[in-house]
Amino acid sequence: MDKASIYQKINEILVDEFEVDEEIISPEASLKESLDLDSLDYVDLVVIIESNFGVKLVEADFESVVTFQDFYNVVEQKMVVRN
Amino acid sequence: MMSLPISDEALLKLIPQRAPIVMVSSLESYYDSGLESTFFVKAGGVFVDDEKLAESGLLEHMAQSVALHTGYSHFLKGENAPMGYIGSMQNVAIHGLPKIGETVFSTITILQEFMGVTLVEIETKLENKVIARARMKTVLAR
Repeated sequence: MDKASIYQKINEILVDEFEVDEEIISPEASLKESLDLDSLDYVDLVVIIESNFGVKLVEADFESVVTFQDFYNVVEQKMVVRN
Repeated sequence: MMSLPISDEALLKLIPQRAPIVMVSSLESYYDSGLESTFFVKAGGVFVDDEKLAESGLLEHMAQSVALHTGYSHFLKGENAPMGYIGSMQNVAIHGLPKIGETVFSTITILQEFMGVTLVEIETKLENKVIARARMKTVLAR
């Protein structure tokens, strides 16, 4: 799966899970603010990434995540390590 | 060391709730990713309505079963049962309610734990028939 496909799939599952318009998602936008994430939502994020990409995110993975691009990078890196 | 099943006074060491709000009767089995619990419906219980356990009581039983998992896991580490609360409930389906004198049997499965939030699925049976299912997020008080 190439980067573009990963990013597109992440966007699709975020739109579906958090019921947001795809237009609000851009690489430089804030993940937390755009998806209106509260502390309960992060566990959903972990679940959907694990079920769709087979990688498990941990708390430390989110320390550097601010934007969607940061989030894409984390998922992508996890997939590389897994493979 | 407590041996399973655990009930009565020993059970109260594992959960923060106290009478008349205790909605678990026993811890039947425990594993890292879940447990099995029971609840016997007594006459006069605060959640008993019209000779049956109310839906709110059944949901409270489910939540306390999750608390029991947290409490027992802390007990195994030599720690006291922590306080927690229900963060959210999803996919709740209730098909039946137990009557006074009946015992429900619940299985909880931990799907994910992240940043103090535990996502679990709970299935409750009465006489081997599923009467309720729910997905719940619980949060430990800090």
